[in-house]
Amino acid sequence: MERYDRQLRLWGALGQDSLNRSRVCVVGPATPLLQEVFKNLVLAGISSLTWLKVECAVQSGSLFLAELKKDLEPLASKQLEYEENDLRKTLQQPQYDWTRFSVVILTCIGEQTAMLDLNEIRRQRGTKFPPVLNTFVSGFYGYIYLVLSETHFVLQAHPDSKKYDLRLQNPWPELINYVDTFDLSKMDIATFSGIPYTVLLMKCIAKLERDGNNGRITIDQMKKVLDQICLPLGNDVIYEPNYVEAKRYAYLACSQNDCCKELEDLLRNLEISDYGNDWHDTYNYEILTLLLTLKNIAKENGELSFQPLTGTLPDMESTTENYIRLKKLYEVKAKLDKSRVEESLARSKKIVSQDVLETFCSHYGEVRKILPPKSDLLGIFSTSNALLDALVMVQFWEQPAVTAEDKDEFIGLRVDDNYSVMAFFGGAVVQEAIKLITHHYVPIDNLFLYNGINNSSATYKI
Amino acid sequence: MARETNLIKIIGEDNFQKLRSSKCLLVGAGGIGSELLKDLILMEFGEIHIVDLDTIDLSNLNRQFLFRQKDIKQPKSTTAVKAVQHFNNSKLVPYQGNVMDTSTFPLHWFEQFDIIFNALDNLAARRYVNKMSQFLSLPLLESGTAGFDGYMQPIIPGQTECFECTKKETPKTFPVCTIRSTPSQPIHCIVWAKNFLFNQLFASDASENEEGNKDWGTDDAEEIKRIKQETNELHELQKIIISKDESRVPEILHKLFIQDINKLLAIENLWKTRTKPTPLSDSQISGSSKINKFDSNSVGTIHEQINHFIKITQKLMNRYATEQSHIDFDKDDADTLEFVVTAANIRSHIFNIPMKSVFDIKQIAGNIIPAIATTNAIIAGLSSLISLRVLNLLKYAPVSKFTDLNMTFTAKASNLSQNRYLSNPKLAPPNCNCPVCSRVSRGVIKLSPDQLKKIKLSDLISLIRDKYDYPEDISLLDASDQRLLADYDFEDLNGRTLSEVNLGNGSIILFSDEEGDTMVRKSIELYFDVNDAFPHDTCKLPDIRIPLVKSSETSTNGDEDEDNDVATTTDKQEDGGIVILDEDEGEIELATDPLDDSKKRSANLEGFGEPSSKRKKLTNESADSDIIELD
Repeated sequence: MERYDRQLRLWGALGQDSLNRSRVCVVGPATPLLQEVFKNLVLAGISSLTWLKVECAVQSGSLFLAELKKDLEPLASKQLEYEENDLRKTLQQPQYDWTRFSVVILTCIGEQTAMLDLNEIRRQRGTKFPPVLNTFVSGFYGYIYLVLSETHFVLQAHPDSKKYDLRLQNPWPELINYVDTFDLSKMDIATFSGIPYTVLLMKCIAKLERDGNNGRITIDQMKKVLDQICLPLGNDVIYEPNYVEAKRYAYLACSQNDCCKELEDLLRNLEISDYGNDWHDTYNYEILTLLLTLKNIAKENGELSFQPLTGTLPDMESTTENYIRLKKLYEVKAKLDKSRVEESLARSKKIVSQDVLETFCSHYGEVRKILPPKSDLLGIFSTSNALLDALVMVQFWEQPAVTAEDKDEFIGLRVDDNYSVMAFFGGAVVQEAIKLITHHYVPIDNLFLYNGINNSSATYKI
Repeated sequence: MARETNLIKIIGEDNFQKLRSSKCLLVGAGGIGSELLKDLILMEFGEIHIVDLDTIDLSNLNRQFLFRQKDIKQPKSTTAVKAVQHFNNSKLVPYQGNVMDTSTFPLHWFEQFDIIFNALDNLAARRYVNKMSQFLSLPLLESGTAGFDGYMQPIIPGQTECFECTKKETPKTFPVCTIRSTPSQPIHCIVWAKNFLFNQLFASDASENEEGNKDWGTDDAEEIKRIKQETNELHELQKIIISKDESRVPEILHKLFIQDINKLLAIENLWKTRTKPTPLSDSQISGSSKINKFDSNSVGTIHEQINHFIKITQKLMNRYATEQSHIDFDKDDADTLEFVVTAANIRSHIFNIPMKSVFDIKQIAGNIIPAIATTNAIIAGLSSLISLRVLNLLKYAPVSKFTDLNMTFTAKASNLSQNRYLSNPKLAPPNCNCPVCSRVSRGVIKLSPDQLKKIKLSDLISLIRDKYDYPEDISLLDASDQRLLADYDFEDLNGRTLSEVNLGNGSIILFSDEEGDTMVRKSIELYFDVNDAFPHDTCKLPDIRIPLVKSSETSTNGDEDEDNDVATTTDKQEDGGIVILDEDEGEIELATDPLDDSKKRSANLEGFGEPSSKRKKLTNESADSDIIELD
């Protein structure tokens, strides 16, 4: 795994394992884009590849990979499983096994019939069809369009700012007892300075509740109460790092819930009808099973919701002893919550792999859901977006490689392909494939447009 | 290999000829560098020079697609050039070296290029190349990636912001006492094991360290005394390593994890608000012969850590003898990593800090930044593409002013709320408070080697003062390491010659007006171009005019620039991590890296015995704060 050390740190051993086991199908003519896509797939650790070729009269662009298979082999850590077939013939085989692919990537498909045929095959297979990433580049422009056949669940979204699951507003009994062991009225500043700020915040919330504040707490209220309970120890208290932290993180007490609100919505809108056995991707099935299990647990206990505690505590100013006791509390509770999930799964006789269960429970707040688009592969034909429209025109109806026209709305659209833009798209489309295969990070939902003249991009949902 | 060139059609015959006759410099042949080299070749740049210091490592192969298993340990630059031959149509010139090495790459060497592409992995070299681009007014395309994030910034000297116009994340530092006496987080123990213990045992030259004015992070005289004494005693431990006597390894354990901890416990002041450490017991350090292999993802018991520590120390002891009495820590050298892991974990255990797995410690100790091929491909594609516009080769998209171009950040992979995948702010004009591109004038001073040995520092000061009309009160710094050479109350060096104060080819000095009335002469930065070819009496200052500026302009701090958070976040990712103990500074610096040459240079000056100027002042608010940042 040493070879993949730098990327393991992004998606973990589980994500890398998914990549190693995955099969990817790349469809299209021999273009620089296609070779960039293959190169990036193999580098990421994907070793099972199928190329459905489109014969192309014009050799477009420069190739640095002279013979695809031979040149890809040294980039892989294990033997490549590589197949090459003709696209048109493949589309005519009703028995062709498309479901074995984790992702299908279409690169610069210029024939409308191929697109129609593939769309029809996809429609017939229902949800059991891999996600399709359709990408096309012309001149300085291009698009990537993701078409899912089933709901995609992200196991770990890796949001920008990590939200810690602290449960300040709804502590469990052991945590309450711990907070109560600190009596601020009988302590000197030295002892005070060793108390974790989360304890101070929970004391503030408790006091606000005692004082009859039932509504939403504001930051001002928190800061005021913080001073009320801390300043009696002496005015120097405001220089203590834990007091400073409590002030800085006072906002944590004001959001309705420590964990994301979007997740509650996700759970609420989750219908049992979403649930069938016809899943193309096991992870999607497993994550949905886990989400439904949480719903069940809440229902059985007459609770509004049940969210397993993630169990990680951020670093904070504290004595080591206080910190370790607090950390233990969170760890024990997280373990307990996880075992509740396991028990409920067992009762309903559902099986979920241990790795997914662990990640799910320890990063519960990072689960995301992406629905299949309302349109299908043909969605690109009926849009009101001017750039996409122009690109689709070039893709299916116009001769490529017309020289630049000044009057064009998009300068440099109808010029020859240029390697840099192709390399950019090769990186971007494989980036999305990796997100889909690993279930880490949120993929583009669902159309990405790029303008290489002014380096801008946008994503749309169609 | 014959191939049809698309680019002629895209940019036209005349511009294509311009491209074919242009020379570019690619600094770095790693992740972005491999991708850029391929893109630049396929764009048909006439001549590409590639500089890289590194050799190839197994963990590069997940993205640096030009390299193979068989190339491991080979230089990156030359290997990359060999690997692209079959599709190459440009003149390629590889160099294995440090771009900051002024003897190989003097200023006039940079002059030959039309454009520079940075594909670097460290702040120091980025700053250096930025400075060269400013000295020579060469366009620079700066780039970097960390995991799914990446950025690309065109820098056109005089027209757009330079690399230093926005504040970069400065290295994190720790006070000595946190590392040596009162660790409270795993990182403190890792820094101790890697930068202090490992270096003292295997990488130091066993000479006694001179103690300057350290920032100890404590005023406790007893504690400082203890730390100094401990350092001396460590030299004794190094003698055990030199002895190659494997049976003495438990003595090392005894000293580090029992004796030293007991001494710490004796300083009661330290433990008033902290949990006391628990030294190992004698029975624990006896070790056992049974050793299981470490699982890199789990932590193991303290007992296992101790056994592994003994075994790996014995192994390193033998290596020390065969490797010229010097082993450097390297995250990819499994032995050195295991030593740091076990030593850090044993110390953590003693201080009631959670132990960490090999995988985690490797990331912290090795300054590992996640890296993938796809992000590098994206950034390299963007960087090569915009070079066409920076060189103004696209007729149908002419560039009238460079601030119409933009830089690009890939949005966090998971952040789609803004409906954007790339953010592309327009380039800003230079920040008028930028210490690199705006607040100083710049020029090259030409000297013969003879003059370097002859001219005294005071002579140089007078020459500059007279030539540019500076007042009496000035200051002179060696800009490469912020070393003070002279100011109104420091004239000790004035009698020495330039070579005696370690100025030579490639040195950069900063000369400033310190009178500070309403109007001051702008500061000047002078690059030393020392060349044998010059007549022996050459000492030529550049013929430039240095304007008077309002003094408020020069003294305003550029702190507001922190708002430019895009730039700062990227750098945080990039440079966070590595830890270097800089003994003479008395602080421990995070986020420098092995290429950081200025570090080594300042270390060389150690024996010089002169007070060093500290422009970077420590904001040491409390002895307990874990991290002290340079401002």
